[in-house]
Amino acid sequence: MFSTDRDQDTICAVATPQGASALAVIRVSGGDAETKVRKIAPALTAKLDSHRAYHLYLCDESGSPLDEVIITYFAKGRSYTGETSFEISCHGSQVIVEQILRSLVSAGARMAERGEFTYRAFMNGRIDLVQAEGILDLIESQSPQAAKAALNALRGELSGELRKIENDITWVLAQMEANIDFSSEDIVFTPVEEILLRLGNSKDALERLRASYKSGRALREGLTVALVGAPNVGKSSLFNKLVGEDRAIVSAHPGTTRDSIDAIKHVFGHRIRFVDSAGIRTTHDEVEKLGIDRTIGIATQADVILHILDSSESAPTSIDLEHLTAPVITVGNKADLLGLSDDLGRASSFAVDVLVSAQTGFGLDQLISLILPYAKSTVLDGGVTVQSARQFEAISKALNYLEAGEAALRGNQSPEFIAADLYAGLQELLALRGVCVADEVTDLVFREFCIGK
Amino acid sequence: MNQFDVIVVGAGHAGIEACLATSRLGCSTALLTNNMSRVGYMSCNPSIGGLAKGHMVKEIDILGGEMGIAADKTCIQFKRLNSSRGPAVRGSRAQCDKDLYCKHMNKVVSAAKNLSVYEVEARALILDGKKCRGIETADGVKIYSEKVILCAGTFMNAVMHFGLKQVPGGRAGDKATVGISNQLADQGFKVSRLKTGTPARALKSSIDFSKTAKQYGDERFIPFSFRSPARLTLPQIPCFITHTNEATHEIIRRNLDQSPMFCGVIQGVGPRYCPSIEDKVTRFAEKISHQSFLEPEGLDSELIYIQGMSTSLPEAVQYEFLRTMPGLENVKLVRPGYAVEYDFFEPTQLSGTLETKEISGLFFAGQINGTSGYEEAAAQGLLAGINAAMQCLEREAVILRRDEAYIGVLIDDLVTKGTREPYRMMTSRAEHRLVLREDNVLDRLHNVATGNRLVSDSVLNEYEKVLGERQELRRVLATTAVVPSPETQAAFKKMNSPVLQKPMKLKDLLRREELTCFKLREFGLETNHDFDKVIEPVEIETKYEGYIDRQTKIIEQARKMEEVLIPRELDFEKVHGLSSEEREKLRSIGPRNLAQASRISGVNPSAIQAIMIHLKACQRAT
Repeated sequence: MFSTDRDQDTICAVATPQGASALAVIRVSGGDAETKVRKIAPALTAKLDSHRAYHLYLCDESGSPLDEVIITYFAKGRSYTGETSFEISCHGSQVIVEQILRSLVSAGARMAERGEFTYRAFMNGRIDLVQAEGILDLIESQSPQAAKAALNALRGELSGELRKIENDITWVLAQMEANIDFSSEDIVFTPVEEILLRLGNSKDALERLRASYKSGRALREGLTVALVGAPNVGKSSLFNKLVGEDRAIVSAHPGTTRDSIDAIKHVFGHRIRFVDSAGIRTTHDEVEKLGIDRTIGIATQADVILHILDSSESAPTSIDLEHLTAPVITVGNKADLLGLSDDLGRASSFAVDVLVSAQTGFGLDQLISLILPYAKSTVLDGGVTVQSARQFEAISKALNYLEAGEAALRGNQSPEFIAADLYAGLQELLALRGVCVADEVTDLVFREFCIGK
Repeated sequence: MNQFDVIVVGAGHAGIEACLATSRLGCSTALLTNNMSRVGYMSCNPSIGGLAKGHMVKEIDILGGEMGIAADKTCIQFKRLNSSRGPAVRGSRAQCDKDLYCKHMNKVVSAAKNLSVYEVEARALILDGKKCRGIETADGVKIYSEKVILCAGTFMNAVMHFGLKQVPGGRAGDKATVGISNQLADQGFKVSRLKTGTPARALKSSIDFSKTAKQYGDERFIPFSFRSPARLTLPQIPCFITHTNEATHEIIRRNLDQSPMFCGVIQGVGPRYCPSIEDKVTRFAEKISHQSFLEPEGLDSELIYIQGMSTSLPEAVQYEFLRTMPGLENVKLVRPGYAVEYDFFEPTQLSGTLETKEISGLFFAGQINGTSGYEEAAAQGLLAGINAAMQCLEREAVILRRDEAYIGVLIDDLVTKGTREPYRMMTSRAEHRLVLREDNVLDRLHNVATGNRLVSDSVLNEYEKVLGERQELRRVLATTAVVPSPETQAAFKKMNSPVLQKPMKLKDLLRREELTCFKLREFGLETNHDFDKVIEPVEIETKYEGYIDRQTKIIEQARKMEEVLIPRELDFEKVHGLSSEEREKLRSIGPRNLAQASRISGVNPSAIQAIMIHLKACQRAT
């Protein structure tokens, strides 16, 4: 967390990516931003209008011109951070950008830390927590689809959806409270069916949001593809071939890979994360055992599993993947060791989906074509998605509380017990949006933003 | 003679508890009242308790207050409301004999040690700068004291409305109090107006009860007070139910132009929870009938309280519409219904002890803080009294937490959020409702009573005895097991309870819906404890353990915020990230801790975060 005296500082940073480009944007924000900016922009008119752009030359301390720029002024309370802010559009050369920043710093501003603009926006009540996370996602989004989903969160669509659910729960709670505090007065209570209906709607909405997490995560982190199989079937060789670099150590000794390794590969705009893992077999080696446990963990979290077999063996060792829910593609490796005439017969006899050779690269394109549909299925059309683990967790908890409340209502429990569940569920959603106080939650979000020390 | 530790102004429900608390704690106390015959008078409905209110009466009782004893002693109909609901939302209510209630209170205050009662009118506070030094009466007599507790009820600058006719006065038969609220307004206090109303009182002999439905109280009586006998003292009588109809509503609608509320004559805000009949008829126009209880004001009283029909319409109109109701065809009114408008002080001007922030030594309690209800008033009176005494004795303040007592919720709500309408307690105001039950008041508050010596040694011994017995019963339940045998299995079958698969603890058996401690006697449980005080509380906490545990966890979490104290001298100007509105609110409320700050309306979570960061930064700096 930032300390408060640092919060008083005027901060500046380049808002566009590093490297040469036609234009770059530098942001300046802080209670005293105007004084600092005027020092390097002496030509700025005395009276500034918010959201208006000014065309002028920036100068360094000695008065010599730095660049011809457009400065946009945002008044306090009307800017992204909520503080007085400026956006300077300058020419995109690295040298110019650095000179302007240096001049701003000598004018009394300091370089912003990562996420600090967003932190200030939250602290000044300009955005709620879900929106803050949306911004983080947008900055870090790795694919156009992910950017779109992040933008939804930023626009407050997820917040809006949550608010709707909160309103419904609040309505149900009001019914319960009337039934408790005013039970002896002669008022007409809402029929249980109507309450159940409203509760059911909230539950469905939360269910939808919860289900969107997996695709949301795939958008953010890419599709996770785990390579699993018995030892020495060539998982690491295949992994290296797939990601196009020698990341995994390859040896003929079974059980070489004990830690998992992952690498990202972009295929047709999709981000695919391949994870190599330790081979699964019965072992007494403690270190290897740990590796195997980890593999099982990886396989459980993967979106797609590549089950690798050694197709050159007459009876390839397969492993038990029964309990896993992700789709499995069975891959027969070491196809190069097969006689050409063997191919079809052997492949069908142990039912592989694709035959490949990590050695020669044979069949890799076909393997990729089998994986891609899963990456595509994660693309969402405009729907609101849940993006962070924190959001997922809160929504799951809220849903559990709502389910408990619904069961209590159906079970004819006294209304205060139903209300207790609903309050707990509501609390989860409020905390998710940062609308009530939960120290831990804000800490977690801003931990992701790597703020301060 | 004219020097006391504490002066209490007003002898209503707040004033009584305040003066009894201070005098009990050894402070010499003067109680000033305009009318000796109306000490502890029930100005409106004839009952004590109800949902969330019964809880407060029991809390007042454990902390040494008088209200519970008076209600038990004068009870003429007892009911436990919501008795089919869970234990946390059951509320005891006693309809009382108003006259006997008054007499009891009068006797108690007259007999109390360290307490002198004077029938005088308080006119002004004696101020020494920002310190309160005593009271000047209307006759110009000065009475000096260290502390003054103002419990003026609805009397300050009060105006009664009978139709469009206005009469100064805080209650029929009593005059208004003038002087003090203007004096305090001059001192910078924020004073606003509230409105309340009361229905007509009918002459018993003019009502044909055969046309109404009788309603009796419960068979089982559970006293409010730990110090009361378990049996009722007075005979029990029924209430009578009648209804309004289209004709009633038509008359009311036709005469709305004579209702001061509807003509804009009354500016004060009335209670949403206790609307007048004009209000009900207009706001719920689709409702063709409203229920009304005809409640006797006492055993020998000729007065019948016409519940639910509070009104400020002219007397003639009241006659007209009441006479459309079954049983009231020939009704005679002893006193028509009327509305009262009165001054109250925004309670956010008080600290958690109910002392004003502006003037030290001055406490406010009861309706002048914007509350409604006898129980709300008594609760504040008691705590104001305790805290005034604590200051005299140079002991620590007593502030009850929200997870500890409804009284804690009440006072915290008032001083943190303020109120814009007459504040009434409801169970929904208590976020930790499941642990704030009538049955566990002793568990919740005996430490406060003991630690501050709020009750006598003999009462403390009784508390200890009961707590000990509860502990013993818990121990037996947790350590005794029932073993499957032909006899035990037969017993389970007889009680329609599943037979045993393996030995089971009595405690686990008690969780079964169909089993009670009484039924577990079959398996050797000895239950010669008092049912109300020992068995039922333990039974409830066992049966609802799951819910209670969950709430306890939430409380523990919430307490973390409670423990982040905000130093009194904290300058909110220096906290970055607060809006000017938030700064203003935080400054004026002056929250004691972060939890209280978070409850101030208009103070956003980001502001709480900002304060927390500021406090951490300050800590690091030192």
